Amino acid sequence: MSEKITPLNEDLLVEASLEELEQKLEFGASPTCCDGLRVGS
Amino acid sequence: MRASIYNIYIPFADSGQFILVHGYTGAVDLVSSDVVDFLQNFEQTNGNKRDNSIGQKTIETLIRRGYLTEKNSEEENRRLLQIASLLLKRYQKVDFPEFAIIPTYDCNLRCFYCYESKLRVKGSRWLKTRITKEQIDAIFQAIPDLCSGNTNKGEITLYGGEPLLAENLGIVEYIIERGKNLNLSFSAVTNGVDLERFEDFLGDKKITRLQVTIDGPPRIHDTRRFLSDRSGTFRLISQNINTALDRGVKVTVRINVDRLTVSGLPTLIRIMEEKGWFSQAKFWAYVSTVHCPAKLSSQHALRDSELFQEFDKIKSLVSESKKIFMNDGGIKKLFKKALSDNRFPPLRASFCASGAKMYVFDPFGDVYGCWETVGDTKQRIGRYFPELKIGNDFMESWSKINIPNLPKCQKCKYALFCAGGCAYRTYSNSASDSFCEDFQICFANSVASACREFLQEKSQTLSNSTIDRREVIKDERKDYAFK
Repeated sequence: MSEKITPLNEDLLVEASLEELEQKLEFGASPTCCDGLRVGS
Repeated sequence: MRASIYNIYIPFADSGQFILVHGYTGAVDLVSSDVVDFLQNFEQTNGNKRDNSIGQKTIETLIRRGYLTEKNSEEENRRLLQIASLLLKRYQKVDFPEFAIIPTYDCNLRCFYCYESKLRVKGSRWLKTRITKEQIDAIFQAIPDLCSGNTNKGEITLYGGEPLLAENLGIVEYIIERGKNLNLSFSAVTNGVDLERFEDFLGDKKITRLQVTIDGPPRIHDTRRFLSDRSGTFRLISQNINTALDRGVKVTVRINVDRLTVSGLPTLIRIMEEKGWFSQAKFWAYVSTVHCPAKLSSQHALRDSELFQEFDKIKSLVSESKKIFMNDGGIKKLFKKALSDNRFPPLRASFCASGAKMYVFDPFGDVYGCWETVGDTKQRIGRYFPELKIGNDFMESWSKINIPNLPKCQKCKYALFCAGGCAYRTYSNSASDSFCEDFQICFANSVASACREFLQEKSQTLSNSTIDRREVIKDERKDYAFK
């Protein structure tokens, strides 16, 4: 890490292979229609 | 080596720093302004006037995180498309899609801006048509067929019209009973007027979440959300929100804002504070613009970016600032969570579940793919009664409003965050292929806010752990002295 740039996250998709991408994208949020309603969850 | 075409630069408060976000690697970084100058200079000169003023170490970090790349723009496009296609594939495997049931299209309010008010011309008989027990049985028979996985942990939303009308008591009870057998829970998008009548159906394994709309303090709300005899509803709705909170239900108040109501926001916040809602664990509120071109002239409608400015002013009035938020499509919340988990922020190929997997069942046996298209049979995506049949020409065109099918969007650095915008607004605005409005401004606001809170909390945790460590050392010294 240098002083001019501070990474805020590390698990990225920069060099992920197709297989790795498939695995990584399995997780994470699906789009929803009513995010306001869902915030409390 | 070139600067990626998917680099997003967001000014970070008054610090002179920037948040750098990459549109498909998911990198998020806090950078000094000379790094932004360096990258923008790199973009403009195609790397020909390369300087090392920011230092080799920083340049290596920019390469490692995708801001500087060996890929040409076509290769970058292909990478983005690859990710978008995988995301679409994943949506098809969602265990439990979004399901909503409309008991009736009828409503006891006459809000002038209602996007469903066009349905009132269909007449009282049509509006009052209520979903039948046979149709409910057909829905619960269809649900397992429409799910890819376990159906025992999902939620169904009751929607309308007004789903919690006193006249719907019997059928709502039947819906909840049928859901209980499958271990499902319920939420409702309700105006909250007849909520008291549904008290027995509020709580665990029944209706566990509610969204109720308030337009402002009583003097504003009562002139916009009134009953058919034009009497106001603020007092009644407030009482019913208290009832729901007492029953342990999560309540989210949606505050509709336009130029006619925006001045009332501080008073409304004060009233909500006086009622003690923000200190309740299961209470949240969010502000949202009103979108209804036919009903609300552009003179009165607020843009999302304008509401962000207003929101900044009122946020400080709320004692528990995390209990109120902007309707930003969940960007701030999901970005902050991703940073806390040390991973890439959520990327999406489709704006919402309507372009992926959403089923809204109405009292006429029709299925719709979006909240806003309900009641217009030209925009249904299939039928569930008397038989389940999903898929038609409309669904075919609707399901193409996503990044893999929007070539113009694929070149946009915001593509995997905006995902082409709201499909319904694209249709209703006759836009050619996407609905951008001022997404870039809103995205910048939400991401900066998420990063600010993330860094504040991180610094607080570090400071606490230093204090804790000092306490441990002190205790160890005490123990040693005692021995």
